[in-house]
Amino acid sequence: MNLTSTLGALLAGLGLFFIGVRGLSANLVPLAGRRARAAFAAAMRGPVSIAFSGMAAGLLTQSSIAVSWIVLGFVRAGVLAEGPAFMAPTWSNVGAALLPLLVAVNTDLAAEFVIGMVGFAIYFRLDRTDRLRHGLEAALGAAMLLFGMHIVAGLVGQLRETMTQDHLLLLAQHAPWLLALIGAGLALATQSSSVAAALSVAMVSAGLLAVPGALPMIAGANIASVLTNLARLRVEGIPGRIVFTLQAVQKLAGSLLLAAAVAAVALMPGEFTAGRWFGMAGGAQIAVLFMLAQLAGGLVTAGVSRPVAGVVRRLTPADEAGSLSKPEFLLNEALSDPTAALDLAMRELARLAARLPLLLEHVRAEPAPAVPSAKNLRNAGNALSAAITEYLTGLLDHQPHRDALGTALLLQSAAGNAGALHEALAAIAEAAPEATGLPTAGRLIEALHALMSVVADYAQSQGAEDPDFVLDLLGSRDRLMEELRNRLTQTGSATPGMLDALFRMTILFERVLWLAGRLVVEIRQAHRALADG
Amino acid sequence: MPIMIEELADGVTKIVLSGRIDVAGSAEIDMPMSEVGTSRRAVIVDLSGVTFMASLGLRSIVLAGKAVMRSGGALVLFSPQPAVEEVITVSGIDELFPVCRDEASAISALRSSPG
Repeated sequence: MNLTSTLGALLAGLGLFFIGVRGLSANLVPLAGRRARAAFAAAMRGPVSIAFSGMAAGLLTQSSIAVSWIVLGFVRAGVLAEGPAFMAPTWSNVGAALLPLLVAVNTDLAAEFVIGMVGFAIYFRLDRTDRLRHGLEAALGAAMLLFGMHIVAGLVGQLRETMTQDHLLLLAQHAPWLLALIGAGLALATQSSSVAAALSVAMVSAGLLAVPGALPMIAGANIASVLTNLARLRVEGIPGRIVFTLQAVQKLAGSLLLAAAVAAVALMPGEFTAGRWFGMAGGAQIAVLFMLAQLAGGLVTAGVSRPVAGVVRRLTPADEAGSLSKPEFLLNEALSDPTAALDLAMRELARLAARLPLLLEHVRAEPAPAVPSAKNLRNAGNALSAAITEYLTGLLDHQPHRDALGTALLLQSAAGNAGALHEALAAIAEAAPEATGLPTAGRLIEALHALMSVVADYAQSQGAEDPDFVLDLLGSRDRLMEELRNRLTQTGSATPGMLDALFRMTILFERVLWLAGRLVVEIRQAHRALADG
Repeated sequence: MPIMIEELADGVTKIVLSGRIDVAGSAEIDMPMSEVGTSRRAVIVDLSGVTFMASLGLRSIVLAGKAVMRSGGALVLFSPQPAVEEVITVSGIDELFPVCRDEASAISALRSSPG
């Protein structure tokens, strides 16, 4: 086998490994269904249970990002209080670090059996339910991951020979910075230090690298994770910033431990050769060291989590979007009483709908002062809409009676429409400045603002008022908008950019009216159902 | 004052709006419009002197008209300038309250309305 075909096969092995990693994570996250999520939330009562829940979630999802989003979603929905729960994603990194350990164990035979069994199950259509399909695909992902590593390991002997001949391997072995950079690059490319560590383990197991060479690689991967966590701070509100800062602290502390190990190996190279460390093979040594780095980093972070959270809060400017996206009425304690929970969800929905006119405030002729930007309102609206949906999902988990179930589904749909309205109105606000020179654009905004005020008023009544008046106002404008567009194309003074912006506004206008009409109808139906209940 | 209220024959109330119905203008018309809405059953609104109509002005008309309709009456708008007519049409207010060319046709529309 020449070098080209060896590299081709190596690429195929790595490809299978990456497909496996993605398949495992993509199918394990949906497998962690509503009940598993509820159990996860319920388990987070103290520091120890939070640590174990986080580790279990990391092990099962193989993604600290997924765990971070789940925890942040719970906090935004009011299911979890801010504070100790923010440590769960940090601990999930320890659970995710079991992936390199799995690679260190020779599981080729198990991988072959799993691929065979999953193949038969899929061919004979045994994957009938979503749950079974996700389970089978997660197993297939795990098997492909291991099989990919098996292929890589088989090729490494030839590759090592070639690389040694070309002095490439010798150069890399004696350049820890280069190996650290490779590890960092792998972690940045895969957005996972565990994946980079698993590759290092495979390289050590196959003899391509020795333990002293692999250590800088996992240290580099861990340091890269500090950067990926810090990069997320830019787009997050205060809860997200705390969650990702804590993980950055964990990774930094773990990286210091790994750097100390690199230094120790450089000073005492004989102590870290294969077989010397509790009888463990080189690959297992690297996997254990990586996990210890996560564990030590987690313990350090647990000790400083409060001051770190305090510093993040102080350094973060007033989080307008964050406070707007926080539910005011969704009390978790009310979930066992469907009537009370539905009433609270309706109040939260009314609060969300009351903001609809505000999305257009900054593009009106005379904007009111101190109104949040359309972008912040949109982000907060989406988060609050998701929080209402999540809250009602929590209610559905309590298996309420049929009427309450129907009302919950109605309110979920209404919350989705309110979120979509935020999106569409923000898009209009974004397009409006480009069409400023056209008077029609201003009139469109004033008209829509008035309509959204009427919808907001109706939502404030929580469906108690007769909706016919509002629905008449929200009637279809298809023909009117079409006429408007035709008229505008004959306007000589408008630039193509202005016309394009106004065209977008007219199309979005129609969408807003349609969504608003549905929202009004759903609020009315939910009101009736609540009144009857 | 951007609002004047006149009592016409046969119990018709005429509201004359003028100038810019912006934030300041809306603040001035809000209360009188609301009072007319809750106490009269046949209302015509002269918009010929209105040069700009903001969302708050539209809202005042909608709320007054809604109150009139609730008591079984009717509200009719008339003589808007083209720019104001466009904002009324786009907002769909003309679907609820007819928009006429002049005062005579507005009174006629009022008489033929179901209310």
